[in-house]
Amino acid sequence: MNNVIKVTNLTYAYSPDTPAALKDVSFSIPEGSWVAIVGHNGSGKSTLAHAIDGLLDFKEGHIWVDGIALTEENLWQVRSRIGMIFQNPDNQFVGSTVEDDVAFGLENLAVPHEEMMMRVTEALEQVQMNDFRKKQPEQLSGGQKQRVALAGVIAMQPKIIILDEATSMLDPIGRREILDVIKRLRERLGITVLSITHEMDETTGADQIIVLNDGQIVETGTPDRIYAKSEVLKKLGLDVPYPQRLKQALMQRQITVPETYFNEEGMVTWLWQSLLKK
Amino acid sequence: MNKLLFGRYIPQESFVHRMDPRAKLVLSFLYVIIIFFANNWWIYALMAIVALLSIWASKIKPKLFVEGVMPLIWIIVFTMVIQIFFGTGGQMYWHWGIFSITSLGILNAAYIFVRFTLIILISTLLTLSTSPIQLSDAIESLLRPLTKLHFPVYEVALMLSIALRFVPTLMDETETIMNAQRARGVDFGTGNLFTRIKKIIPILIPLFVSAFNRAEDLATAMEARGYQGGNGRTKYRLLKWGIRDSIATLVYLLMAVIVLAIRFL
Repeated sequence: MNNVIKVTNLTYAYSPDTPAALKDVSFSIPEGSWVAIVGHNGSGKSTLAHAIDGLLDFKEGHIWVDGIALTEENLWQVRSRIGMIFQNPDNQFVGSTVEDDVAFGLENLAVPHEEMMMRVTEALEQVQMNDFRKKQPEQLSGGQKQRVALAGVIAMQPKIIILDEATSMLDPIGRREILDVIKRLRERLGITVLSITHEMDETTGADQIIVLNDGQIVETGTPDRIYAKSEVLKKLGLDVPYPQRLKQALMQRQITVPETYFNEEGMVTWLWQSLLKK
Repeated sequence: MNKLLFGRYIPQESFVHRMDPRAKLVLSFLYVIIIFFANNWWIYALMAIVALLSIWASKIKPKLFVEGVMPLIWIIVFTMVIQIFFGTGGQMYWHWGIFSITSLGILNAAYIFVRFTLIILISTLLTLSTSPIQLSDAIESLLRPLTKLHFPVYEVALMLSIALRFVPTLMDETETIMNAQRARGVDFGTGNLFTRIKKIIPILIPLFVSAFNRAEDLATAMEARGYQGGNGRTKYRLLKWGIRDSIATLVYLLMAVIVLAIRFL
């Protein structure tokens, strides 16, 4: 598979006096995959997301997006391939109504008016917000605003979606809705998803997890592998998802649990069957 | 304040609502200019008919227009009182020192009352039937010739629309901050003017800090969505001049011609 994002030796500090927010970070992301970048506050995970979208002026290291090197000349080409959703639902709502906000990115791309109308409607249907198209932001909940932001990204037809803690200000229902829409999009359009989060529960569906601490990559691997290192995660201030914690508690009581990772559902099924086996 | 400034737009389906906001804006201006040429009851009657006709075509409840006039009623009464006591000319009815009541003074006061009321009615009609964002679109479109003089019309319009969009957000924020300060024991309702003003500072500082943070986030989000300034952008909201706008323009121009003819011929 092609690597749609490739980062090599990226180092960045916000100012010369502060310690580097990113230190010699290198990784690559295959096309169509879902990669979660986790880390506690200040671990540099948001900085990394901003760097990939060309929102930071880094001096050391290189970034390639869809085969294009991220430089000043290629900046807008790179950005047109990435759709980014930020943390605060209010602070990324530019338009005065839902449809205006979805159209904002298309206006920037100078899309003709008729096509714009079509793409806005399509994008709003994907996130089930078409009934709200004339509504103003203050009439929407946080989750609905994030869905509008997602529609704005969908309308621009990017190859990559970066979620920069996009669900951290939402209630559990709003969070579920956003993640469901993204899952569906990935299945239908094969979009690469890079999700930045400190919520370990959101990483269970990922193909790969990258753990950041103090601007450095500590661990990289599939969820199974990462969750197995719960001691390391705990030291970094990250919580292991609930089924994994249950598994560890069982192991402490001398109950053998299969090595591979289960999601909540898988864990429940295994518990049933283990009882039957006795 | 929110209600006063921005909650006034009444969404509805009507002849006036569906007009091009540019037409509404220009015709409202025309109306206000023409009314200053009015100097007899025939002209006022004609202009009142046009105003009432426009209000009727908007299908907005007359009650809302009365509410539009009420806050300004004291200014109108004050101006009328000045006219009545200080106006000169015509037959003198009463006289004391510098005060005098004359027939012409009373007539002028009546004219002023009608003139003020009609201006308020027409401008209320504009704000009730046009959303702030349509108005900002109209202003942008009308000011477009200024881009030739390198005036950043598009950027100013975008600033205006973002400002309008963030008014409710910042209102909520102010409320939250006030509640947070109340929870810490600040009492906003008591004290003399000076202490009350001092109590506003712990509201303003967090509000400013948060507004700047929001602005920075918003700028980042706009950049991430490909915003590179106003050049070469297409527009999602298009303004379309329709048959309604031509009809309304004809009516208002006819009115203007008749008024000027009565006045100057």
